[in-house]
Amino acid sequence: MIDFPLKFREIATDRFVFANDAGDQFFGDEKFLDRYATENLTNRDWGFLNENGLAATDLKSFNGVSFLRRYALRMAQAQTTNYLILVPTLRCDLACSYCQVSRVNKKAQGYDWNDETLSHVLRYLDGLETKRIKIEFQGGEPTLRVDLLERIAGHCRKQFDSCEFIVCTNLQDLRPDVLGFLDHEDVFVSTSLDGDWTAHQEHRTKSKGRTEEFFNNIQKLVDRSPKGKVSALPTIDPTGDANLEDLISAYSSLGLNSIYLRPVNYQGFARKTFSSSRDAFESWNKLYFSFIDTLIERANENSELMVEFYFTLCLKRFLHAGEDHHVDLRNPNYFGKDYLVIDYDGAFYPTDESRMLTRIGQVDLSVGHVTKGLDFSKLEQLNESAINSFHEECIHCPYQSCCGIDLVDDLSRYGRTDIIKSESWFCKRHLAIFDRIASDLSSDSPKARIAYAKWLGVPKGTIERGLGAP
Amino acid sequence: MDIDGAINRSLKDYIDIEIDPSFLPYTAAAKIRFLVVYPSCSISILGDDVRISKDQGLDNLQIAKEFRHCLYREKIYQETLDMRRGIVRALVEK
Repeated sequence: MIDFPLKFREIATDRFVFANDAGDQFFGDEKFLDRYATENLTNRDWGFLNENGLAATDLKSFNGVSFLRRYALRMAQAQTTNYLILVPTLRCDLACSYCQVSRVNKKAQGYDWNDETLSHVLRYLDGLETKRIKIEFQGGEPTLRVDLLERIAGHCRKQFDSCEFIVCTNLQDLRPDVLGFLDHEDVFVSTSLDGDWTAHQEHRTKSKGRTEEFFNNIQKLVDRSPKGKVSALPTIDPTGDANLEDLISAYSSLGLNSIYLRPVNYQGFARKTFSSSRDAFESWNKLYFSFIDTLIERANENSELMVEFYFTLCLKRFLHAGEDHHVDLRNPNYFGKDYLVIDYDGAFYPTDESRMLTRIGQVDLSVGHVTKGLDFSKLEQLNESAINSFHEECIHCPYQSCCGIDLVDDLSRYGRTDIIKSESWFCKRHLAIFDRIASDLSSDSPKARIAYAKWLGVPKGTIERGLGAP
Repeated sequence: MDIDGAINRSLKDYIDIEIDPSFLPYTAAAKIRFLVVYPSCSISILGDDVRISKDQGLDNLQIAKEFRHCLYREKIYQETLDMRRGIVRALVEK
């Protein structure tokens, strides 16, 4: 009998989470760990492992093949390029304090796609092998060039079997032509909403008039759109004093039931304005888990459903394979495969954050240009480290298979990727989230599991307590 | 390995941990990992014993447990490396 190698981590006093490389988890105590590490498993232990597919007679047995399949499914499969982030303009009509993209003034010249760049982008789209395309329009403020958005969308609708467009907009100006574009069935809207009026105005709109414009516009758009078309996300300063109750109320009043609580991304302008946020892990954690606690309470009180997007994503990844659509949390996370960014000047970038790092002059992460094609040798260099499967620290982590890797975040915060992983923001953040999930799932108290079930849409109303070793 | 009995609980700023012979091949790797997590400590390997010099504020039991877990991880990793390679081979080779 062989057991599939286990990794372990203590999540509470004498309570450990164990996991294998396929992401199968169970919980056990120190005594089980001692027996396992010293090769003194009892017949009962072996029975437990075997009955739960955690051991096999060999890799060709039912349990062996089943394990191999689960292992394979845990690896993100690189698809053909089917997701593009397009930046038709870098200009913006706001100057938010934590702008992550180093935007330029609305009246600046030379920061939009010119005709040549547009024609190369269209040609690039024609060369894609995919039948389904997802395009995210970023900026700057992309609706300043709604004409370019129309050109791209019109072209894609002819070229591909299925299209989805996401416009990341500040919703400051809903001109008829902008509204006309947003009204298309295949267009979705993503905006920023930092909480109530005061919070939003402080960091983004700055004036009463502009704040009023925004709240009127988002309400107008939500009222005329099918549910799910409009989404919003806040940016939170971990060192600030964000009012999370107000935040939930602001989202709830607009009929939005998902909040992606993001810390200030240590990118762009935010590097200067929020320099203390680089390492403000403890304060972020405190705020974040207090938010999760609030949402768990709400779920148990049968209040209107509200989920935190990222926590729910981590929960899904903890529980099963295949949740690889979020490009900041997957493994391997190869660059230049299934998604790419095309900047306002036609340069290719592997991620949106990498264009920011390049723009502020930290490191040139551009990987080609629409006129010349992709720089494969540079991509290859980047991709050498874009996998956690063999990382010297991750190999010992029970969350390895449900976690991911984010080299650009490491580069942004620390200027290098060969840092001690367990001291990085990325690792600490995800360890904290997965520890919380593991702790909740192994707890006798059903409270969090009831909330988890609701967030995941599990019909029975609760998730069973996690598997326990003898 | 009986950690409780193996720890020297005097007021010295070090603790001695007796290592079971089956774990001795993994002490060097465990030492490296441990020192990453506890950079203020230093470790001497003296035959079957490991001596961890530490700040007095660090808890003896916790330090002993952490080192033992490092040993466990290294042993499990090294002993299962061939199997892990086999798993990858089984998936990528026809």
